Amino acid sequence: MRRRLVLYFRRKHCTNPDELADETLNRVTRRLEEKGAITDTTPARYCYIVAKYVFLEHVREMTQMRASVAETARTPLPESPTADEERRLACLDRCLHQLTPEEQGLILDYYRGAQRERIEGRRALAARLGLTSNAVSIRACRIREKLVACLRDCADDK
Amino acid sequence: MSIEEAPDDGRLRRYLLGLSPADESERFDELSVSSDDFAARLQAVEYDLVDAYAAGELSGETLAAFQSSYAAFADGRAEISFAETLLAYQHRGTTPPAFGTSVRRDWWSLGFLPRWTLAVAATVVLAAAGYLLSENWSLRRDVDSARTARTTLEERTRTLQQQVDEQRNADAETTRELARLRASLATIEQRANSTGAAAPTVIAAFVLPPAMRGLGDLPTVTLPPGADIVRLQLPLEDARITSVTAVLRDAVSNQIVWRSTGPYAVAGSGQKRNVAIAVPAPLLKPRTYLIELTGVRANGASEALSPYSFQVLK
Repeated sequence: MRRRLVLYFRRKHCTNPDELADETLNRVTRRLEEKGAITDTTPARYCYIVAKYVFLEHVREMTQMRASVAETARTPLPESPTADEERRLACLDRCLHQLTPEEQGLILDYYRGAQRERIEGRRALAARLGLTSNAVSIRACRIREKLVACLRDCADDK
Repeated sequence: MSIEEAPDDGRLRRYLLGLSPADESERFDELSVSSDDFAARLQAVEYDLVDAYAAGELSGETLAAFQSSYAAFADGRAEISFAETLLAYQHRGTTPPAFGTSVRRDWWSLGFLPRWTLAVAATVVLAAAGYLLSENWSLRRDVDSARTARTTLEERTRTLQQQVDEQRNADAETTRELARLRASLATIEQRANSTGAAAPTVIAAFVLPPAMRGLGDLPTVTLPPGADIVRLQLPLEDARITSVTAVLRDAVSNQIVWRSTGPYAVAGSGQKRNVAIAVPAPLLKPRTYLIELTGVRANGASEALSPYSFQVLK
């Protein structure tokens, strides 16, 4: 649940999605302590309702920050110099080798090719692993999250 | 909501880009938190959207929406950066083979081995290193012991060599003295033969009892100064012996001091059989000697007889 909340706040372009996710869960916990149970809806939907209120409060309190974010949105992406690309490639190589062989094979196969080729490749991958497309997709996303975090740490180190 | 009920990828893309109608966007917001399946599906579509942007596959309204909703924010830029790097990595031609086949890695990284095998290998290497260290220590100890033993043996060898050299010198001196005495004896005998009545000076004559056990009964021979020959009369018990040869031996060093040049005839009969031998007096020093006789029978057979011992005094 916390992971889904973090992604929710991230898609809302909040600058501190982790803190907002924790605030949401704290409020849900307090409600459970006060009432003992959530009876009027499912716990997951209740979490969303709380998260929505947390987000709206955040928007009201961070008006200035939103303005700043809007300003940033008009800033064009800097061009990555070749050296930076080489550095990121080296980091990715290192991060890939930190995965198990199975994880490494899955992530590279899952994101191999483009458009139609990629779709066909994923079907073949799922068939080869004996999993549903959804299960393969979930695994690939989890591995990708690890790689993104690893790449960020690697770039910070260098 | 199950994954089968989820909307298609196109609607999810529009939602992610902020292009969905408000009510649908609200519904997807809720599902992204409350539905595990929808959340997973949405993230997969989101990653594909980022990859499509990195691959330059977006255009028009989609591209503009993406740039404003993703490329402008830190988290979005991190995702784009990863997608670009992954794309470059795959285009570089160094990607490992497809999943299900062996993953190529540099041999020196040992990546082709399971991690537990590396742990086992590390344990074996450590054990081998410990064993080799122990063996090395043991061998060093053995080498030290061998060196000590070698030093001791060398010292012992030097001592023995010194004793051998001293003994050789003593033997040489004895041989030289013996030669001098034989020469003197020959001179004396020659003089006796040439003068007839003028017999060589037999200064001392002694009768030695049969061989005795124990030094308490050791007979003494006191030599006067200037004696040339000592005549020793030795009683014999074996009646079958007709002649003897004699050897004079230093009882302490076991060195042969004198040896008879020919057999001595046995004299007497019965219980009074004896043999007399003449020994050059200068050979005798104040010490204990043994006379060893070899008896010869009438049939030519020989046998060693019990030795006679005596002590010389001057």
